[in-house]
Amino acid sequence: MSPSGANRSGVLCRAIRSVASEVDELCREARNLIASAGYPEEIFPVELLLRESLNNAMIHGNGNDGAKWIWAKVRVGAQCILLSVLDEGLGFDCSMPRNRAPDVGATCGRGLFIYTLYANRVFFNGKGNHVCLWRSVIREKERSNRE
Amino acid sequence: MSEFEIRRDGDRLEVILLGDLTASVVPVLKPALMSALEEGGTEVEFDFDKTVVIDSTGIGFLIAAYNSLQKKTGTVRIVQASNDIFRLLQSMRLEKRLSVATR
Repeated sequence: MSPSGANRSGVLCRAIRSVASEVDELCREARNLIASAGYPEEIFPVELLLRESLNNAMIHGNGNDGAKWIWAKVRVGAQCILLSVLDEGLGFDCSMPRNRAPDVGATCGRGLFIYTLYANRVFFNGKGNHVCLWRSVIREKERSNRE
Repeated sequence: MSEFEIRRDGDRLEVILLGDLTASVVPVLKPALMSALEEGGTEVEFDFDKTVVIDSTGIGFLIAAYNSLQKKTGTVRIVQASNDIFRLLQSMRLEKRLSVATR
């Protein structure tokens, strides 16, 4: 973080292949961006949202085909963090309910539920292969001023 | 570099994570733990001291381990979890099932 408390904004734009190591690398870059922008408390929720959207794109969208691309953007602003993830897949029925926790014994199906836990707004394109996630944020310095 | 260590103490296996529990780690960790359990063991403890993030694939892996061990009346425990990870698992009603203890 800068001595004054925070950078004012930041953007990370990447095209990555559908492989887990590239997802990890992008998440590391996003973690650094969020920290340097003055939002240390947002590292966990934002990285989790990013990971889930990238995993969905890699596994369900691009079918784990390492030759296929994922386009991702992380935009850190003064009041919100925006994530945008687009894949080459056929999309899915994004009208399906996602605001209920899956059965406690289920070994999959928690990705979309995580969107509702940590994002203030979730938007899919009509096809279902592009997700945008908004998360409202308060900088640490502003938070302490309010308290 | 390995992303975890598995140590055995009798029937108890300790899985020490050296980083995050995510979709890139699970495909390596899962067969390693299964192999260790085939040699015996009914109690698995995951040490999250160095873990910042767990994703839905990591959660699914923990539930699969729990489901597998429950068949032989075994247990799964998580120790040294961050408050963020505890709250995530709590929101999914998994904190008791996985016996989560925070740092």
